[in-house]
Amino acid sequence: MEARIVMQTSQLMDRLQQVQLFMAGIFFICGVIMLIGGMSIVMNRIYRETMRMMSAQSGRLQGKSLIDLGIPAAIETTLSLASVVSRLLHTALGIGIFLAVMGAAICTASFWMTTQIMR
Amino acid sequence: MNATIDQLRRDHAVDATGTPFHIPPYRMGHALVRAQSLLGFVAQVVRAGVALAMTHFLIVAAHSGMWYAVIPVVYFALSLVAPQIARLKAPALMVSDCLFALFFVNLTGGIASPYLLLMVALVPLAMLSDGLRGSVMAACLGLLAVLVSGVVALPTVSSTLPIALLSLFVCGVACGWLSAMAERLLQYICTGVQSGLGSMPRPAQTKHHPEWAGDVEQLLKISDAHQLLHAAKQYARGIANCPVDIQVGTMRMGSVGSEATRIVCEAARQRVVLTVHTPPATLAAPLTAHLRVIGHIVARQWNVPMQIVEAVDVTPTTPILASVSTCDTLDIAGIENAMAIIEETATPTTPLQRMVLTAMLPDPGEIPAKRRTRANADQSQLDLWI
Repeated sequence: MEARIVMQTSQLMDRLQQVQLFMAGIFFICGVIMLIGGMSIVMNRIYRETMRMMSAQSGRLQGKSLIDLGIPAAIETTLSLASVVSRLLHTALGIGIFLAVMGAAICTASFWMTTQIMR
Repeated sequence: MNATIDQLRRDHAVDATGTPFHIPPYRMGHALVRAQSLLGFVAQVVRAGVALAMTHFLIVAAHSGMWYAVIPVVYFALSLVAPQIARLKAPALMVSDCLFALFFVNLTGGIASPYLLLMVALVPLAMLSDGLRGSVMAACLGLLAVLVSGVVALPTVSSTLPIALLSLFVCGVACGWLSAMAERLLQYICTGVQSGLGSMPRPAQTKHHPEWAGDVEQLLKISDAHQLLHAAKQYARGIANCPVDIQVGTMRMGSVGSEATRIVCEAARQRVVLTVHTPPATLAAPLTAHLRVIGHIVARQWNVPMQIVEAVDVTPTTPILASVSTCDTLDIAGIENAMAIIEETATPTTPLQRMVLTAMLPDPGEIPAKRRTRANADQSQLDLWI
């Protein structure tokens, strides 16, 4: 009877350990996904096309600015928009780095959890 | 304003040819360009050195019959060829570096291998290649590679694993910070723009004055050079609230010191230099933009009278009014005397006056086109073209 109880307890512990390992694995995969996502944000350099398009259009505006007196106001707006996009770029870089660091931390934590479970 | 737009356009036009510090080459001095190419060469040498070091283990692995010993050969070839391929971006190189470093570490004993340091060494190498982004990415990839190596070696956990993870993290943060600082410093050196100060309020006034638009309209109507210069100076002083000197066509660009700001405008092949007697820091961006607009208008309008006169037919018998006041601007012989007669008799009515005028003023065909000059600025009052 006692042996049966011990065996059942052992099986339960094994299953519990498997569940814990599965959870740690999921955690690790989430970390990897975050890491890859962060790196892709960092390396993709988003908003670059927007910035290029705005730069190209602002050149045309500049050409017209001396003929049409309403254009300088539009140029000022374009400049402020460009500065906003530049801030967005920095924000995207920050988000990417944050995601990557968080992903690495989660991966490390899940690895530590795994070692603790398997001990 | 125009300079800012120019800068933006040029910066992003050459952005495709990315540099480690993300500064266009034309903005960098010769020494900086040399330093940059030297950094690239160092990165290339390090990559080739790592590849050479790996070939030593290739022989060992080949003797033991490991098929994946081929990988270092591929890496060696790739590291030698990579700098020659322009399309191969730095991230792709970095991923290949980390991948092959991972294979190399697992080939030489896994997580307990002393060559785990290679992962750490890849971070500064990536920093040399791609700056902040490269160092962040290399550190993350290194962490991932070390963790994967640790997972493969489970349940055994090497004592070097925490040290490797910590080293990668510290190295990544340090290299990222260093490259960000270096990039900011280089940007400041090359462009004079200090990043991070964009959100700070400018010390001088930033209020927009709508009446300037009217001033600019008035400037556009003036075609006499001296009046244009005078009016432009007046408007510029009104805008900047300090003395402003305007020079047209000058090539002398001496230093103005820190107490004055120099704005150079070029339009219609004419250079206009505005010297605002106030420190650059106290001159707000909208003020600078309006001063620049005034400079451009002066540059464009400077040659306008000559161009207009060449298109107008000269008729000496045109009714002449007495309000002519720019005799000194005429360089045609005998015209100044004619002006004096004209002032006495505004309109030649008698035959004698007509005869005198015909004798004093040359025929239209005799006046060379380039010597025709407009006589007065007040176009509404006087339509006389001599």
